[in-house]
Amino acid sequence: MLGKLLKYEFKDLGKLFLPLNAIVLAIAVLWAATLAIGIDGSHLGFISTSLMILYVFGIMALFIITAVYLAIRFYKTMYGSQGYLTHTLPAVSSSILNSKVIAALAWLFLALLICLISILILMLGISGFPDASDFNAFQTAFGKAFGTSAFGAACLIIAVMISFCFDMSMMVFASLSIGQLFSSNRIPAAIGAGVVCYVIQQAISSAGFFILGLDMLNDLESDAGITLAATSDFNRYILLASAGVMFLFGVVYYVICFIITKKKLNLE
Amino acid sequence: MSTILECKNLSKAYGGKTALSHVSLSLNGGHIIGLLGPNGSGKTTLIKLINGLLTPSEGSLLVGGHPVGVESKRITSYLPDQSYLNANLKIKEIISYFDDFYNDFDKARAYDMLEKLSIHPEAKLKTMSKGTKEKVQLILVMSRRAKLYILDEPIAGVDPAARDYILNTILSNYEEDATILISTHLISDIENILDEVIFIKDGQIVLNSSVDKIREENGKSVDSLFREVFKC
Repeated sequence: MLGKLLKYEFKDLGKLFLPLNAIVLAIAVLWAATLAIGIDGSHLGFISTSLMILYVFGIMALFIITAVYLAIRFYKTMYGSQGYLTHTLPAVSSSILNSKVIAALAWLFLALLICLISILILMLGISGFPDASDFNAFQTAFGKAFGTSAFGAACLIIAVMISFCFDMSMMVFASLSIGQLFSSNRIPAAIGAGVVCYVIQQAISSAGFFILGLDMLNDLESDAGITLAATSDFNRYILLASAGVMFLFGVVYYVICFIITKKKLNLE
Repeated sequence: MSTILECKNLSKAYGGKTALSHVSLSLNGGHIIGLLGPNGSGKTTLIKLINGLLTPSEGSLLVGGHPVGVESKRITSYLPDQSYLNANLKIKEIISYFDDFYNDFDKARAYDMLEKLSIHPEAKLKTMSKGTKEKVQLILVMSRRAKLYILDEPIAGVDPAARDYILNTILSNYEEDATILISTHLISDIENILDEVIFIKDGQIVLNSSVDKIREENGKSVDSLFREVFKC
């Protein structure tokens, strides 16, 4: 049943998100092309500037539209009129919720990926394809910054991105689920719940990072000054800790959503 | 005749207000049952509890011997009292959706009913009138070979001609061993098709009887008895 639910989630969301991502990527490619052929100062300079503005707005729109539409669709299909169909399907609550979570994660991750890819395309447009030695040097420096290989550093960044998407989407879904427990003013209640979740998460993670930071500062002081190895370790730990904290909060929000969907459904 | 629906001491409260109070009910298969009561009497609350859209404050509920969940939803075909489909979809897409999720969905029957009403499967739901949308929803619900059909106000807000179509569709498409629970306050329009009636008032069942028995014992129609019981 999860497969069928996912099929329809991706199909429905793809109608908006696929063209949106494709447009942002196309703008990045066009802008990179104008940069690559060096048109500054020529009559095409205006086009390049216009494309730059379009790209900036495109990236902003990509994230805002993706986040807002995912929230609206979750609310409509879970707690709005379409919830009558969703919750009378012969599917367990966990499958229904998982289909929403997996689809949201996938589309948010794609938006982040498109953003990264577009930045790489623009870098290529500005400085052209790097030769093998430059590329190897970049790989080594990238890995060293996190005290690991380039592949390890990339995995670390991807883990942070996935955790961020999971945490953010689950926070919004949990807030909307808490909001539907109220008999009236559900949207304001959901916004209020979102603010409370955000403040609690920030307070707990700030306290955690403060303690972790102090610990690391002690480690650094014990070394002979701030070495590259020590800062690399610090970078790696910070990324790992961020991914872990965001994932844990995402799990807490998921449990809240699951309990409300399974035990407290309230389609008045 | 096997029991298709059994409620024991079922209650539902919203905030401080009790919408349904200690309802105990047992419905057998193969009947058309009217769930009758004025607005706000608790009809829709009971229906939503049966479909798992609300969680009871107290009591238990079995559909076909199963607690409300995947198994009960597999055998229950539900028509809500409002539009509940994605209006941006084409009719054929909605039919595919039902066909994918409900093993008892009869696609050919759905297309046949659409054709009789000259509703084009390529048309999007949002382009249709309110009445046509309601007919599409009814077609989808009645195209399932379910054991329990629950129709919440299927004839409210439609013209008399459409009412006839809706009632004919219900009568000519339900499975003979299935039970239909129809909620309405428009008694006279559906009285002739009912086998049994349940009167619900202020969240409590005040009468559960066969239509023949009501006529024999009271010497009046269900509509007349309803007006008497629910007199303002």
